[in-house]
Amino acid sequence: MTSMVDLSVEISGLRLKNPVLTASGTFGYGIEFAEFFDLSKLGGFCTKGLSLAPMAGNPPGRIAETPSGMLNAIGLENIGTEEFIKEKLPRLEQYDCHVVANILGKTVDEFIQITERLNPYPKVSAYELNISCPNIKEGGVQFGHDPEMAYRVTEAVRSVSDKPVWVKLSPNVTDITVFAKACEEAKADALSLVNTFVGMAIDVEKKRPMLANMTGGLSGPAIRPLAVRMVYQAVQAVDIPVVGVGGISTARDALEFLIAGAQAVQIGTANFFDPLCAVKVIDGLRSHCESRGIKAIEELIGSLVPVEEGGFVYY
Amino acid sequence: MLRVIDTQVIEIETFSHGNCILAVEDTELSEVALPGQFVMAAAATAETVPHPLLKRALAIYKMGQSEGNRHAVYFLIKAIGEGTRQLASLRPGDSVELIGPLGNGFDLDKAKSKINFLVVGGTGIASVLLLAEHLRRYGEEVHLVYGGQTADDLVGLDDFERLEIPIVVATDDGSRGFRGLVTDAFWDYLNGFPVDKCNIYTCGPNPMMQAIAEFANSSGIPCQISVESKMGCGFGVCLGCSVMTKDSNRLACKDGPVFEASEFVWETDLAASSSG
Repeated sequence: MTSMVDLSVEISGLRLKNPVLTASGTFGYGIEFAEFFDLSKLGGFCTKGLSLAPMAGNPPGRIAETPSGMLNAIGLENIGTEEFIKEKLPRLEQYDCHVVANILGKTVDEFIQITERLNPYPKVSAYELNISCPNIKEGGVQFGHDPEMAYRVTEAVRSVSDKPVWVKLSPNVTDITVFAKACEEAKADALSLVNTFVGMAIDVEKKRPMLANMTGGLSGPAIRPLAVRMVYQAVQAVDIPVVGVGGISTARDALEFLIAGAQAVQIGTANFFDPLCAVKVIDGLRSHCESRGIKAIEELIGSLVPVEEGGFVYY
Repeated sequence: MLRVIDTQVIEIETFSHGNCILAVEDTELSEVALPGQFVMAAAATAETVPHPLLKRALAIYKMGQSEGNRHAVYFLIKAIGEGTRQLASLRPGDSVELIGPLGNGFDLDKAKSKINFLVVGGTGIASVLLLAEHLRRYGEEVHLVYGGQTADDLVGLDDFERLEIPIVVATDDGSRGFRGLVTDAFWDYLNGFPVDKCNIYTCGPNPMMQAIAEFANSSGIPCQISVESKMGCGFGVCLGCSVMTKDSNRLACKDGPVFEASEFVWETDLAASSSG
């Protein structure tokens, strides 16, 4: 029996067959996961961050496992925009899911160049501006920690882009709403948040940092409550759609973000320990709706009951 | 084709020093796995969030019939951290999640008409039994040089004795074979073999492999190393297990875990070059 639940959502003018994407940096260029499942099952996926020229990334000692999470300092290793266009994009044509190109530049001009290079390819549905990688000095977070710079890069890409522009925000700021509003003012079509939290772990025997980069980005279930809070704050602050990311590994986790007001979600670190996680989350969302008589997942988006209306759970 | 495999423990044999050999029900793994390949493994959990979060990389040690004639895949595990401890404390019937087979195995062509030395330390032994079996099957000459802490730390030795190959063992305390480092045992043993006929496969702690690799490089002996690196996913997307080779950063999981000794850059080389 085919399901009667409508899982589709609309975000920045794109219709996604379900609200589940996979997060940049956890899903390669998509092809890697085609060995595990049919990518057409996904609402979409975000590519590994693409720079203009290939990047080698940081030296070894790149990851460390922490309670319910992991630190990474990969340093944006990627094949570069040209190689992506030549080698990866043609192989993605066969899949009926949105490809969101996560892009990053050291300068505003580099962001523009990457956008112009990818504009002609219809298989790329949207851009996600990576202004939030904590592990490189130039680019990345220099845009993400200054609302003025976030505005500038968003506006610059928006002005040359043929596709919706999403901006991926850094959580390593005092007030996420300032950045959310800056990007909205710059005409961003959507926001995705959060990227990883800067963290550090130490080998107490060797008295050395676990990462060659000293610090790294914390991801995984450990950050989920932080991410839910920030997504909720951003949703309250702006009118553009928000895509929720951070520590999702089950349908229940995804529902938290949707109820908080996220229009869609991204699965990240869970792809590492369960390559089928995204499919399980999609199936779980469907059965959640079916068992509760919910006809369309959109009914759940932003359905959080405010505390003043009794939306308070006593246990 | 890569797959996520849900399977069950058939039997588990425990030894001293936290070592064990875990046998799980074979699905199709044995039909596709090559010598030197590995899986990512975790004890299955009823929790929605596994603890530890990430799976652990395990070399495929052996494949064949277990007790009761079930098709089994074997892993040789040393319990060190939480993940390996959980795997080592599994009981028959318990569920295990595997992803695999992963990585590039040993280059087997290099072994042709050579005197092949498998030089291993500790649980490095887990990576070379399939290799030894393969080489024996194709009639190639194989020697095992195996080092451990003590005699009872030399897990799996009987599997190699069954292959009827020359075996040299070394232990730190001299409780069996050569007393001292496996590398020293190897230098002694190598005396008298024609260098131009030799070929080395090595797996074990980095300082040991580095010593073997440097010796092989300076002697012009072909040598392959099977390296370990912390892995997030095991299939090439987290980019966490990066190691350095002369050309570029490579992934231990996807480009390796086997590398040519002549291409590999060791951590101490990096430290030396950055301080020099």
